[in-house]
Amino acid sequence: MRSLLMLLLVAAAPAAAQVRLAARAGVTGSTAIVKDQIVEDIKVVPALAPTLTIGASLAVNPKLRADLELAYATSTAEVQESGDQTGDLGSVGTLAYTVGLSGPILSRLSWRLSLGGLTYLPSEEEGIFRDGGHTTLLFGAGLDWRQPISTAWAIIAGLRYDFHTFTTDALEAQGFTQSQQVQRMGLSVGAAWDTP
Amino acid sequence: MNRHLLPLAVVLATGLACSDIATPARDEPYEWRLVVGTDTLSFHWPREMLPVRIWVEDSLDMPAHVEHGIGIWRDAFLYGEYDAVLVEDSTDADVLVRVLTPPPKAVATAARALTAFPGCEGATDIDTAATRFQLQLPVRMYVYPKFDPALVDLSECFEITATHEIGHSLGIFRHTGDPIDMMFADPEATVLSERDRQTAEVLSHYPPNMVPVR
Repeated sequence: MRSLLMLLLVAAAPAAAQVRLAARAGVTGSTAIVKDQIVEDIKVVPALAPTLTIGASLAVNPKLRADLELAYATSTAEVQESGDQTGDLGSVGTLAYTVGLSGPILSRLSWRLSLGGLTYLPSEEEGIFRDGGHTTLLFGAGLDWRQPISTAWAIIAGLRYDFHTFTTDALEAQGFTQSQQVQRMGLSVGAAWDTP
Repeated sequence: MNRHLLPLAVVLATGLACSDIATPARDEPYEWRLVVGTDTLSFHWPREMLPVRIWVEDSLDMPAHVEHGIGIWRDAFLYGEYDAVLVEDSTDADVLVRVLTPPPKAVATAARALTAFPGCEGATDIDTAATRFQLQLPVRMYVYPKFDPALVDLSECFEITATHEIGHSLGIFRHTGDPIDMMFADPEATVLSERDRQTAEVLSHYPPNMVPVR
């Protein structure tokens, strides 16, 4: 990850007139992180998660920017049995750290592709998290809308989609194999500042 | 732009093509239900009653042994189906643990699961109350020495027996015939067997036909 960022920054350096810093707040929804069947269907699904995102980007060329983004989301891991919530496993935070590339689609709309890592940070070591959380690769894509309000500042809104695979040591210890495909979607708004 | 959208499409397609986690086959549970007459009774603690409140007589380090047993059973579950805490006040406890020889059964509706060890013994009374479909609270458990504990170290015996009796209190109302199981009548195992764990998981999702009452 660090090497990739260094490469991106070195590549961007000749064209880097400005660093763009951004901060956003929003929500992230997730599909089930575990699907099981014990007499009935069981799922563990993170509730809609408040999300804070910060990022920095550099221009590689007029049509391409390289960036680093950190996103922290926290919500309750809900246990659903036959579709009804029957309990929870406490709150679980996720920290996503990605490097990405972005470029314009329309004048104020841009695309972003990203690659990085995602770490699950459970508040309590119980159930599927009794032996700790999980760190995995994260692939993402997104759209960003940017409305300048001054020469340096802009209001931004982002739509993010990412996916990763999930398992834990506790699940593997109880005979689970492979991993659960998890998809997340996030919406956020915030501000961006172009450094002088 | 197409150059950029192509990898996006590949990434999305890859993600959507991945599969679900593969669940283990839970094909080894043993019979846990209590047969009373023609009724087969199944019980697990309702989620809204968790954590189960357990009062333990403060004698022979029994609270520590019971906490050890709670931890063992709690770790058998993936989805928070069981948890218990020790409480100071016995009057509102769901389970009482006494360190004494069990008295004669007070009511005919109670089933008693007895556990024998070389050094200590245990018992749990499952009082099905008048209707059979009610579990009378508190559940009463007994763990007691057969020898003077000042002369023999009975710590392991108490630990295993307490864990075994907690297994009864969470709904395993039967003994198994396999000595590797914690729920074997004369248990020697210090950890749960795969069958113990699977049985606990299955019973906690099996529709109960007993409800706890006071």
